[in-house]
Amino acid sequence: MRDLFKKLLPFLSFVALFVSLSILSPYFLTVDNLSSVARQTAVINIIAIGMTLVIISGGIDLSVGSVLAFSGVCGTLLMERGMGVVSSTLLGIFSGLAWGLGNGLIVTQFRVPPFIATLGCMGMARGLTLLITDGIPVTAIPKNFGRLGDGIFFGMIPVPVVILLGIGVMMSYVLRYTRLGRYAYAIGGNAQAAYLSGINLTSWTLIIYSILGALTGLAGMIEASRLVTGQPTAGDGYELRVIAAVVIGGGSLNGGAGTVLGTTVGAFIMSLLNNGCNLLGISPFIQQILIGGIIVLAVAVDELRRRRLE
Amino acid sequence: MMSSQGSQLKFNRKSRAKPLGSVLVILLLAISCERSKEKVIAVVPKGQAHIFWQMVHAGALAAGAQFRVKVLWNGPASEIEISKQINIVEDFINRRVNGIVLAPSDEKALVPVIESAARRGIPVTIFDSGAQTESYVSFVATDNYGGGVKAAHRMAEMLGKKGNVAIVGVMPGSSSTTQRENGFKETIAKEYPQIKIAAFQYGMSDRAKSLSVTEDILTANPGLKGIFGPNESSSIGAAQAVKGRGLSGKVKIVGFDSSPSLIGDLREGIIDSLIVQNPFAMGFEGVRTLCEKLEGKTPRRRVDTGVTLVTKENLSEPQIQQLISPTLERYLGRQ
Repeated sequence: MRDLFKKLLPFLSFVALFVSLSILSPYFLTVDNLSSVARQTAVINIIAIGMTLVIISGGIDLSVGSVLAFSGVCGTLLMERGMGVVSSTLLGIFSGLAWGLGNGLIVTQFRVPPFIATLGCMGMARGLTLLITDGIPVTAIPKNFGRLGDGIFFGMIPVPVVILLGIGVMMSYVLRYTRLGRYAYAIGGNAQAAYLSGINLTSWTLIIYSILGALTGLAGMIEASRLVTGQPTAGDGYELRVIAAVVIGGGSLNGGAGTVLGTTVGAFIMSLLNNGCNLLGISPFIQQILIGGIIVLAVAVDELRRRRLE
Repeated sequence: MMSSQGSQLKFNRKSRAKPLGSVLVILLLAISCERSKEKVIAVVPKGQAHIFWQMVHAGALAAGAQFRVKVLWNGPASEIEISKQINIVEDFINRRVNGIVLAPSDEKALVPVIESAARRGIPVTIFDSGAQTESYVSFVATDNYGGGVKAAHRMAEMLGKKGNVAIVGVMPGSSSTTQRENGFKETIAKEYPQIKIAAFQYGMSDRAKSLSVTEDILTANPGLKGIFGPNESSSIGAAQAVKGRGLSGKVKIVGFDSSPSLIGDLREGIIDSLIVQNPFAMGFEGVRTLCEKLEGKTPRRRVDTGVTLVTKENLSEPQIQQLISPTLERYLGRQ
């Protein structure tokens, strides 16, 4: 019961924020606005769901912002060369998966700590993206690719939100009911114990990083579609926003904790704050202070609770 | 480690529950603004970190005061945050402002939101940089290509029409600065065959990056005679690097835009000259076109806000002073 309450904390903040924005701004509670908030969150949120899995398993991935740009540029370049929209998109996603696999290999085979391994890949992916595009955005993209990021179902539900929903449901299922999910918690909780109980750390770690890579690739294609260009500088700083979403949602950088629902709420808290500040005309500088403060507060509350136990 | 999953853990529900929610509510209540019936025009710059945008802001506020409209100002922190800028414009559309003045950070990526504003009957004026759409009221900008040409002529004059020069570019995809770079490159290529562009690197609209790029250019090209910086951050980066290497005066810098530190460098002779735009006029004219539109008039489709060559010699003239240091505090003081 009390644990349940702790789990509900991000939720309560979300509801409080939602209600206060509805009161403060007459424009907040409109179909147009809520659908843009959801669309604005989708890209970060899709990556954050993959990051939740990685963080649960005790890892971290700093390369997601760069990989997002890499995938977006790869996919759009293929389209520019005349390949079909669907196959280019799939290959774009695959290029993200390849980076994830690469991260996993560096972590497991060379025993480089995830922070360092993915920091390295962050630089490599960004550099490679700039190299293959010469730093210039990819612009010759077929019109119908725009639907991935800007399309709308039933006149109000943006396509990226539907994708986000599907991925969220799938990942929740994976975490709760599959071996992958249980092993991720086990590895993150105590890698030594997991190893001794016969879990193959190497292959599961590779799978975990690859899933995040593929989701980042997907997010990269959505972002490219939304920007109607393959931007080599896209996703700058996204890794921190993604990690912040996981942490606000109750994930622990020590591993072993985190949920898809929490992460999603975390991502929405950040974009509601942005949206609210924009609607209310609050300075963008104050927005950053607010979000920074909330990250610290979220973790501090968690820590206080933990210390009380000891 | 397993604590968050475990269900037997204790948690004092009274003391720790409230902070997140209540802090937010109080903060938002405290800073939420009053609503009134006056017309609201939103101005969205590409970034916030350059003095240039503050001058635009001042100009927009001056126009707001003159034409009695409320001017809202919001933009991403830096010029490369394209999706952030899209979000901001979307939020202004959802807020149903009466008009939007926008400096698109990418000429293609912002097109869907510009058109979506137009579809909802919100007039958009584009300023500073172009966008590949026709759904706008006016385009208010410097003749950027012409500014690059002017810089090339000045550079040639200072170098006696020969020698190696470098360009510290801003960033790919930004149409205004690309036009300046092209104006400079093409004029040098066409009219000054003895001047060679020995290096061209991007500083990504960041001072630190522009500085290190320039340092590397200086290392690789020992005989370099001149550097062209097509915006504030590239000019500052170039000036810092040249100062650091003790090459002041030996490598002539022709920069673009103005800021207190650039003007300081101009006084000290580190920078030879600056091509200065009129950002104050951009902000002012941008808001003015939309006010005209809202009154039912048809504003001019293209407004050129002009460029001026500023050197150590003409620095103290009153009309130059007005251009480089408009009294920002008068407009921005009480925000």
